[in-house]
Amino acid sequence: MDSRIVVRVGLVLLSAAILQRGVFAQFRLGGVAADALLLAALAAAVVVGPDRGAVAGFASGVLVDLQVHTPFGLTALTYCLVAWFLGRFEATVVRSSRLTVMATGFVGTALGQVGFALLGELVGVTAPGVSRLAIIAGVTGLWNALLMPPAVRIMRWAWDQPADGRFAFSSPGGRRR
Amino acid sequence: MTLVLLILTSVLLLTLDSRDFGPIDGARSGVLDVFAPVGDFFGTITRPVSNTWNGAFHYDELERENKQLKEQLSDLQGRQTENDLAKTELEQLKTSLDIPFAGGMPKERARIIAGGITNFDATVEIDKGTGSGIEKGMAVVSGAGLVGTVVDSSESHAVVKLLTDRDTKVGVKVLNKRGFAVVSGNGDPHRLTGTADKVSDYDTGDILVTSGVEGSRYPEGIPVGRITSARVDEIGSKKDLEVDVLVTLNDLGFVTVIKKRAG
Repeated sequence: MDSRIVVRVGLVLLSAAILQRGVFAQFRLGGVAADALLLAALAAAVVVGPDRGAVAGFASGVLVDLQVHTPFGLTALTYCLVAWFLGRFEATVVRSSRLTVMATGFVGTALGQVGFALLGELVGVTAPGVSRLAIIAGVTGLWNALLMPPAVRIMRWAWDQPADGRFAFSSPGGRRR
Repeated sequence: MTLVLLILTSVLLLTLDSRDFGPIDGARSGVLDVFAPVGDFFGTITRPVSNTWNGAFHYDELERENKQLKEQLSDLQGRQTENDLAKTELEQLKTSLDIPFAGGMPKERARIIAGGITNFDATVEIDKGTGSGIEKGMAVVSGAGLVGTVVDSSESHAVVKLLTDRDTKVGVKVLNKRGFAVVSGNGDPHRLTGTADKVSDYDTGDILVTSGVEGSRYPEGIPVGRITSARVDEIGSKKDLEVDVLVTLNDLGFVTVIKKRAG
């Protein structure tokens, strides 16, 4: 991989970690915050596909694991799996629009939160109750769905992907962005 | 192939962490030292906006808390003359900065500089660390009661796992009543659930304090919560408890670390 891309992606992930800590974690709805690092992983999966998306997801997850006190590697495992599945799904979409990208953000984020809780149970982390988990998945999904279009643009820059590439997306009116 | 390698690496990391692999703790402490000032900086900048945000979007919650506090105050005033415990609780509410429990133990005041990073991490960061004698396992309190436990500490910062974290368990009792109980978090930021001996005569409205039994990380007598429901389970083997946390954990500015290591 081009070292310039590695540096750019690293910078984007580091910025996402800082944003998460300094901004997103402060603004919560029902006690639930957006998840900037999962967002970055999903955006990478949309832009560069499942394999490199999974690598970005793993790196994002490690950045989270370094800052929280859940078992180390649990977030990395969850984010790389979710990014890979979302990358696979995105590859089947014939024409990606802003709406499908936002929907991908919502579904991927919700899957990420539920997946984290389920995988956590396997390694001894008690999951929240079903209703609380549904609130966390839904609200985080909404936050990330709103933030997905700009995140995809930033990731496209980081991975040096052309705006009219396979994973570029258009507005509902059909204009390529 | 890439995915398989990443999964294997994650599993390896999980295994190493479960065996208390030292470098992982070291890396976390290092990251805490680097990122905590960033969180503090952004927190200071965004505080006016986030306060407005919380006022706007958590109005119902504030109203509910206000109502609860009024009810508590009313209840305490009514019982003040006949119940010494209620009198103590009232004093605790009035003196939020005074720590009436854990009297003779060394303590350290600290400022909360950041909350949890993710939706599954019930922690806060404080602005004191090993440089001030704060170490892993120490209990953290506020004027109203128990806040949590120190789970990570670097030279200048520490991470406190809150009482409401799903994996926190606290041994508790009701003063002057028979029996012991264990309460734990369930992801709800205001409530705990627990179980008590079936022979205990715990009832709704009782205040739970830390039991301080041998080996406990918490000194005896720190207020934890108020029982809102106490029912004998279907088998009749124990009492299921629902407990309101006494400390408003999402609105803390300062806390006090009790410098007694986990027992």
